[in-house]
Amino acid sequence: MELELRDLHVSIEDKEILKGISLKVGQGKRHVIMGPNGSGKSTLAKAVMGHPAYAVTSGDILVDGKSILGMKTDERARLGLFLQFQNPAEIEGVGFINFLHLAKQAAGDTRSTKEFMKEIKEGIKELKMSDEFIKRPLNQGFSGGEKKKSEVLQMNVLKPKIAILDEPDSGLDIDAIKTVSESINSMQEKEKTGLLIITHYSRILAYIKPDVVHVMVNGKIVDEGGEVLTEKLEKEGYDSYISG
Amino acid sequence: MSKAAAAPQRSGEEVVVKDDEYLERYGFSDSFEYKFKTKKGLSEDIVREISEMKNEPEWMLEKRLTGYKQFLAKPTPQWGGNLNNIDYNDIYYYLKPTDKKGSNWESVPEEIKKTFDKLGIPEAERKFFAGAEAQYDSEVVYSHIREDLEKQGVIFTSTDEAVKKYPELMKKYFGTVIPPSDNKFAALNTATWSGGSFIYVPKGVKLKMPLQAYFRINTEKAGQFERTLIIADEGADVVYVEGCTAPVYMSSSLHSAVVELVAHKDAHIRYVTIQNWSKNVYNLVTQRAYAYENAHVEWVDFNIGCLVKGTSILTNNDVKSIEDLNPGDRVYSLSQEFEIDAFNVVAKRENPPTDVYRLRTINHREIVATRNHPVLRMHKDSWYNKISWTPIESIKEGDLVAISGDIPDRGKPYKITGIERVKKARNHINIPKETNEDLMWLLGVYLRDGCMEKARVNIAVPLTNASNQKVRSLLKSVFGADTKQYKVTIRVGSMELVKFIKSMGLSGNARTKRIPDWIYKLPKAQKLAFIEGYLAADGHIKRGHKNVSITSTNRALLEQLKALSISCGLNPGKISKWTSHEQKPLGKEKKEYTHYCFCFSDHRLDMPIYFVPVSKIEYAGKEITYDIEVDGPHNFIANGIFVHNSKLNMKYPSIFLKEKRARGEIMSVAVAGPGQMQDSGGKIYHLAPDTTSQIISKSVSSGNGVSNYRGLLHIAANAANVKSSVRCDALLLDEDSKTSTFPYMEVKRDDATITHEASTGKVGEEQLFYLMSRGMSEEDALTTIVLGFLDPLARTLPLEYSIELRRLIKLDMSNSVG
Repeated sequence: MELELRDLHVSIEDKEILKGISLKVGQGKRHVIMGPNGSGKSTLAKAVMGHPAYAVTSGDILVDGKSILGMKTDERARLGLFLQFQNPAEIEGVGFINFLHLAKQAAGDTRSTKEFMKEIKEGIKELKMSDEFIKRPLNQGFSGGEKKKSEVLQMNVLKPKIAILDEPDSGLDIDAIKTVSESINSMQEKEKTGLLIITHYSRILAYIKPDVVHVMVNGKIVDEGGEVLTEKLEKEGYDSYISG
Repeated sequence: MSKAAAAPQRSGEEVVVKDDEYLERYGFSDSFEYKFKTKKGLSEDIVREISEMKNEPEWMLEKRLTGYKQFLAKPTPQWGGNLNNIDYNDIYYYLKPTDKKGSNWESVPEEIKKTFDKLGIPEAERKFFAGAEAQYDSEVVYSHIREDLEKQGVIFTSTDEAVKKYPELMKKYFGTVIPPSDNKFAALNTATWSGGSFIYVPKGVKLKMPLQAYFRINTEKAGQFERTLIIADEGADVVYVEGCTAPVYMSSSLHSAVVELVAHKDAHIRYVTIQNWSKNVYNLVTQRAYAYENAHVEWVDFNIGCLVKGTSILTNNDVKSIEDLNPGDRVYSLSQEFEIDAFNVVAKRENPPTDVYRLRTINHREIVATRNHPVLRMHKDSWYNKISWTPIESIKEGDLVAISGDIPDRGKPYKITGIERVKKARNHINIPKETNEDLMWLLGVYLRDGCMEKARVNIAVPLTNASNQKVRSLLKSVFGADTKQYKVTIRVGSMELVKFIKSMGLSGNARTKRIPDWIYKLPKAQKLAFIEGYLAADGHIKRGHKNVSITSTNRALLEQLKALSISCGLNPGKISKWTSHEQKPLGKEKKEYTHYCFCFSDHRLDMPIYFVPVSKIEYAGKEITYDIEVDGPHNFIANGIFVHNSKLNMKYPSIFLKEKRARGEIMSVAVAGPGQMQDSGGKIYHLAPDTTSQIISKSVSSGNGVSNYRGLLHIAANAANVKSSVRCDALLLDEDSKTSTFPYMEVKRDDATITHEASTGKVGEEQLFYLMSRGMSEEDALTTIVLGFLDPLARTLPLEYSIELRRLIKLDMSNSVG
């Protein structure tokens, strides 16, 4: 599967946030969008997923060459798109495991419940989470780190074709970053998932090696390159792009 | 702590009902069954008769008679809704035989059948609904259950049977928790009760399985005044679930049950009600529990509401304007079998002005209603036609909606009484004793072209008119009246005829004449004769058309005529406005004439229901709207279009904590969908020290639904160290929905610990987006959020009911998703 953004313009309440973004994420590829806070990275993630408050004013979002602008969020998800939330919503009274099961059903996933549960348990082990975790209500009272792990766990068991990870490393300590990154890597290699990682630090990139790095400033892609670009950003920061 | 709180407010519902025709149709159609029916109304004789029919012992008769006396003495309670309109003399108080025909399995709505399947209610029990033969089968099932429980000494039987088999227990407990002197409805129930469950759990017996109410229906057909009594002796434990089954098909419309719970020392009773979503009765249940030392009582109440809901309709239905309809009136509804029949209006509500929309069909039927008001729509679903109740907001131009066609003729000739002879009259006329077609034809002619003087009736029909001869000969044959032709007018010099026409409600001039109410109630042939008479004199037949068109300056009259025509199965067209300008020959003054034109096709509709395309849906401003609730199939015909009705529900269980360390909990869930009002809550009386209580009320409202919490917390002067918490959580699914809390406290001590929390939440866009980003449809996402919100209470349900709850909520949500 291939995700393509073509000259994408997105506004929130008539304020333009994305001012013409073009990029392509292909199967098994690892893309990174880096940029300072407020550059529109999270907006991009939500717009791709079809958040109703984010209006696409021009340009297009395509999956395998077909526009998905007319599709609702759930339809996009069922195509195989996944968004790992920076701040997932808390939902009272909905158990994590029930939620995952509903998501599996929605996807028309034919795995047996037994098989599915087995994968969840393996995922929990891999992410070094507590077994108790899956019995708790969805995201309620989760710490920052638990929320990140919960999101990664969901991605690992739902096996999307293209995943957008919005700040997967924020709120994680060094050990946890390593654990989470290894988990993402193993899923990605096995499933040939296309990844679009959004971050403003390069720390996680020490573990997840990107194929392409995009630099985003003020709603535009201002630079693109290979992994070497991250080293440049590490040294110089975004100043040169902002002033330039 | 604060003692002040808002006083409970009265809401504006009205209640009531009666109905003989319905009863006759559904179970009392032969004389054998008639003898088991008491007369309408309540009297000491009726009470004695009920007791006698049941072969009751003397002591029970005494209790009934005490109840009857209290009933007469008590005022109508003013807590909650308006109950002042109940006509107690218009109700049957005792109906011994089951109303089998109304409750056969075939007539059970599809969704309820499915529910039964899901709940796993055995085939044999289901067959109960098919009548006598199946009752035999169900006996077997019941015996099996009873046998199992009997080993532990548990009694689970009908209250009627308990009077005979367990007189000691009954004498000891019956009416002790809710004595007849408590309130008018408790007194009424004591006098007339029939059916209900009796449960006794002996000392130390803890039942592992919940007792389920659908067994109850196997023993004795539940009456309209059920009486349930549950006693948990010391240390006993029982969970009772009153499911969504039994009372659906009762023919009663006033449901005034009494439920008494007694929890002895260290005992635990949990009473769970899943409100019957298609219950066709107004619910006035009195539920009360006594909790003794260290006992624990829980009321859990789920009110999920009607499966399909509607709201308001503005204009008249085929008989009356909705604002003039009152509980007890009859309207025509579409039954499950797709036949039109008359049903009662059981409740009515006026709503503040809201946005309304006008829906018009290609044949000019139109209604104005709120956007969520469901009409019956037919649409093609792959290769078959699917018919469903669909809110107006989801109807598009070109969609097919149901209109009424041929309506069953239940009219009766109108009895003419009270016409005095005028002594000095020169020519007496004959006044018929009741209406007939000839008379109605003449009155139709009069309505169109007649006027009166003090002692003369004039009808403007020139000699050249084809109807002239008929008018004159009918005046002679019906009234024996002599006529004279004066220019273009037929004159009848008769003061008696003038008085007669006035007394029939047909006076007035061309602009003020109206069709009097009694005409709508005539047999179809007489109504048609009246319309024909109206059109006879100068109804205009367009060349080349079979249609008759007629003009008048009296628009209101034409609207009435249209409604009357629809009720006769005619297919009237639209009423349109014509304005003609005329220039006066002298001066420049222009004169404008406004007429209304109304077209008639003589094409008669001979089927009860037709589907016709919608020609227009448009915004029609803000208006006051009305809801009516209709007995039976819950729909009615508004301006010749089928619409679904709405539902009102109110219930407040109470707990008396009578001894130290007793605990009481009242948990209620109310889901108010479009057009519904749910009132829930409860009352807790702390009458002893160290007692604790908890009230949790959770409500979900969508599509202008309203849910209210009403609660009373009473702490007596001797009740030291009381702990109580009240928690009201409301979840609103859209901007139009509302919630209110009316907490009321009577606290006589200052050492009580009372907490009151109320929260109102909205389903967040982010929550929906999150769940949908995982592939859930909007409907599933909403259902998940709502169920999560209700989860703390849903956990108290037995598993099969939790599954059912999910399905019910889901159905409700599918109406909320735009």
